[in-house]
Parts: sequence; C-alpha cells; structure tokens
Amino acid sequence: MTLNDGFDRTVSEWLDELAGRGAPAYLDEVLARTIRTRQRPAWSSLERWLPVAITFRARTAPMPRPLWALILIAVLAVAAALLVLAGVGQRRLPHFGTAANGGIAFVDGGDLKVAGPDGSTNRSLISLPAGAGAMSYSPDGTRLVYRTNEAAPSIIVVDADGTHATSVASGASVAADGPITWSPDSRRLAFTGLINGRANVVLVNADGSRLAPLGQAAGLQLRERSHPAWSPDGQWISFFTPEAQGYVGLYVVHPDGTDEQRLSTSPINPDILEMSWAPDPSQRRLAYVSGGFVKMFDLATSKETSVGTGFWATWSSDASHISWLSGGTQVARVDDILAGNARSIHPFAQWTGYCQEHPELAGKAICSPAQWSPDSVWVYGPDIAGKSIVLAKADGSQPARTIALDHPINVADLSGWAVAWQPVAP
Amino acid sequence: MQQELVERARRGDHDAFASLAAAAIFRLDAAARLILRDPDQAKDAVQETLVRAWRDLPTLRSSARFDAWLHRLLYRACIDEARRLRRHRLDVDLTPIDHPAFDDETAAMADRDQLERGFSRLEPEARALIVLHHYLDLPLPEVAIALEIPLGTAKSRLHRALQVMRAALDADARPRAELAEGRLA
Repeated sequence: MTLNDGFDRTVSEWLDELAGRGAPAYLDEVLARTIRTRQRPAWSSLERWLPVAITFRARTAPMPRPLWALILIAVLAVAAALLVLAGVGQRRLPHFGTAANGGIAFVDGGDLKVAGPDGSTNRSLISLPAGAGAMSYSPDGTRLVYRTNEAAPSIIVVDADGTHATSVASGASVAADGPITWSPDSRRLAFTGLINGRANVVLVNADGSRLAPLGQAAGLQLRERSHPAWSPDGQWISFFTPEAQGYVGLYVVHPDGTDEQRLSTSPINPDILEMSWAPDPSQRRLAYVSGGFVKMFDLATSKETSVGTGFWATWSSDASHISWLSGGTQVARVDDILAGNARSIHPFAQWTGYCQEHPELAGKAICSPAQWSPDSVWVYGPDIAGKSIVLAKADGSQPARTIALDHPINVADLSGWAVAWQPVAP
Repeated sequence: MQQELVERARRGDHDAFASLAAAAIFRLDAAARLILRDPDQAKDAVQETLVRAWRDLPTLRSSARFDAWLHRLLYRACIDEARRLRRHRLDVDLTPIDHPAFDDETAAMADRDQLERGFSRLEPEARALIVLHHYLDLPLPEVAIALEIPLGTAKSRLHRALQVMRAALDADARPRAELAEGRLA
C-alpha cells in the first residue's frame, strides 16, 4: 500500500469492505414503530416557511444576542396581536370547562329555529325542506352540524347564525346513519358511512375537505366500524366492530388510524348501539349499553361499572352526572355510581312502557335520550307527546317547562327532528 | 419514482414510507455501524432515524431533498447515540500490539488494522464526515449540509480526520519497515 498516493481511494475501499453486504433484519421492527407514530403537521417546521439558508445558518452560526432579542419581541408582538384579533371576533370556548347556555336550536316543521336560553322567544334560522337529524353544536359553539332527512342525505355544517351552509358529505353511502361527532377542537367530524357496502367510520374537515375513511392514510385494516365518538382530549375515536356470535367489540384508534385497540369490555349486545365519552378529558371514561344495562368503562383502569338497567345514556357537560332511561329519565352522580351508592333522581315525570301510551304526560316527560344544557343544570328533549321541547332542572328542583312546537313530531321516529343547545363563553 | 414515494409518504401513506425505508435501510445501517463501531448502537440510531423520518416527513419541503435530509437525520441520531454511550461507558484505548513477521497478505491485513485503529481514534463526528463522503459518496457540500456545518469547516475537518488515519498508518508502518530492514531485530 502506498501511503501518499490514492489514500482517499484506499479509505473508500476499506470502508466498503468493512460495511459488508446484506440488509439488516430489523426493518419490520422499525415499520411497526413508525406505523404507531403520528406524523407532524407540515406547518410545524420552521423550514417549511423560511429559506433553508436562513434555518441552516441559524443552526450553524449563532446569531448575535440583540438580533435574537429583536426577533423574539417581534414574534411575541405578532402572537399578542393575533390573540387580540381572535378575541375581538368571537369568544371561543375552551375545549373543556363550564360553558354558559346560548340559544336552543331545534327543527320545527320545515324550519331550523332558535329559542332563547329561557325558551321564551324563538326565531327561524333557515329552512330545512328535508328536516334535520343528528344535530349538534361544535364544542366551541360557533357551528352546527346536522344530517338532512332525504333518500340521499347530506351532512351540513352551518354557522351558528344559520349562514354559510356547507355540505361536507352527501349521498346515501357516505352520510349513512348514526351520530355525527365533533373533534374537541371543532375542526373535524366523524360519522358512519358505507364504504364498499360496509359500514365504516368516515372523517371530514368541518369545511368539507379531506373526506376519507378512518385510517386510510395509515393503512388501517378495512373492516366494519360504526358509531364513532371522539374522545374529549382529541386523541382517540371509539367505535363498534362486529365480533363472533353476533356481539360487537368496543374499540379505540387514534384519529390518524394508528394504534387501534380493543377495549377489554365484556362482549356487547348489538341490540342498542350507543356510546359516549365523559366530556372531561381527565376521566377517559366511556358509557355504553349492553344487554339492557348501561355501563361505564374506565380506560385508565380497564374497569367496567354497571350504572343500571336501561339505555339512552348521556353525560352532563361537566361529566359529573349521567342520565339514562329506566322508568323515565334518571340522573345520578358519576362519583356515587363508582362508589356503589348511587341515588338517582327523576327530573321528569316517571313512566314505563311505550311513549305513545302516555299522552297524559305531554309537557312533563321526554321520550328520547336526555340532552344536557352547556352549564349542566338542565336536561331536555322532545315531549313524550311530540308537541313541545321539555326542559327540567337535572336535580329535580323545578317543574318542567316547555318550548311549544308549531308542528308536532312523531316521537317514535325522530330521524328528521333534532334539538341542540348552544354552548357560549361564560 | 422515489420522489413519488416521498410525496405519498408525506401525505401519510405508510406503505410508500415502507418502500423508502426498505430501499435505504442497508446503507443507513452500514453507515451507522461505521460511525458508531457498534451494531446494536447502529440499529438504535437507524431506528431513530426512520421513526423521525416518518414523523417529520410532512415538514420536508422538497421531496427531491429526501436522501440528503435522511442522511442528516442519521448523522444526528448517530451523534446522539454516541453521546449517550459516552455517558455510560469509558472507552478503552487500544494498546499498540507487537508486530510479527510480514508478508504481503499479512501486511495488507495489518494495514486494515491500522486503518481501523486510526479510524476508531476519531470522534464520531469526524468518522461521520469520512463515512458520508467516502462510503456514501456524498459530495462535500452535501456532507456539510448533513452535518450542519459550513463547507469550509467540512473540508478542513475531513482533511484533519484523514491526516489522523494516515498518521496511524504511517506510525504503524514505520516499525514494520524498520523490522524488515533489520534495525529492530
């Protein structure tokens, strides 16, 4: 070997020899890790916005301190200005916390109306020739979503004042059935659609963009999924999937389709498929119904707790209480249920049997899942006779009051009817 | 083809990323083994590189820059791994060995040993410079970008690193030549 000539080539050849041949055996191991890893949004990198020369220089050559200070001050000033501007336009709600009660939106004949929080006045927002179902306000209270009641239904997002209606999904296969759930940041929606004839969870941005089956980009295995519910921390979407012997399983997956897991609940009877997250993100708790029992499942402990017989379980907005239907609407404190000493309250008149058998309870009881006011004080729903919306204090301390409907509804089929209470900043 | 895969992977297509990873993993693993001189550490560094690549791919501005960007990630992962190891292990200096008789073949083996010795004496940052330039055949401007240093610095560091290797070879060749001439006999 010559030490002075061709040393670079010698080094290259030696490195090539040293490196050897053959692919390492851990590719699958790496890919198993990456598929569980969420991708960063593109906007989160400085290099997406600044020339590489600047970001590169910033890493290699420290800037003089005064320049850093000026940049920091400028960034803070811009951030402060944005915050002020955002605050002027609209008071947005935090993702979780006690909200105040805004207007009550409801379908009345061909109109979407809004009543004041006390139910005293109401006005029409927009016409709904095809009715509306599965209606809910976005968590920040600025928009409404609903499904039109047509042969080929559409999912419509509309501003809270009734303007800027946007069809985010349409067609019998896409906007098929079941609940529509908002992401906690009010930017996205999930619902059950039919993909190649099979139920699947579909995600779409609230502006109608990026309509896609759950987990498409992540290569999530195709199978039947339905009844999505978005966790209050935004990290998970829960859903049902059919399993052996006619039961269904309760699953969760990240919204990007990664890390799908079956929760260790008992097999769930699919007669009544309903599921909802406790709105408090710190609780990580789900309510669902199986075999005629309302149950709660704690994701942190994998503990299943029976609430009682019945169905139509709903959480108060602050997650402190849960309601369900059994001999009429019942309400109980979650902590008491977990402690095994629950005492339930009936805020409305009690009844058993079928709704239609109780016309005498018009204006006194509801025949639907009890919905909760944003401040968690009231429960409400359609009157058992279909003539009004009935509101009662959840603690049973006041008699029910009503908002009359100009066009009575059929409480046995609420697919074209809906009511939702707008959360506003306290 | 690669750019199309990168674009798809940037949009969240994991299958596309798997193809990119499969195409790159050999050279990444080899480069990491050369830089770190430890197959387990190299595996950790490559895993970290590919996980970061998948995670941060949407932030990559130009799909044509994928390879250069991947090399930069690998370099960072290797240096992180080397620093982690330094905190947990004392490197042991190799003591110069006795020199037996030499024929051409054993001389070549001895040369490789001396190259190895010189290479091992380098800091991981310097080894990375040599590996990127002389094993992955990246032009020096690309190496400078991957190592996040100015081009002039890359040139001078490469020169110094090669000098160290050359010096190791020189030093170890000297007694061998003297032995052949009988001066140490």
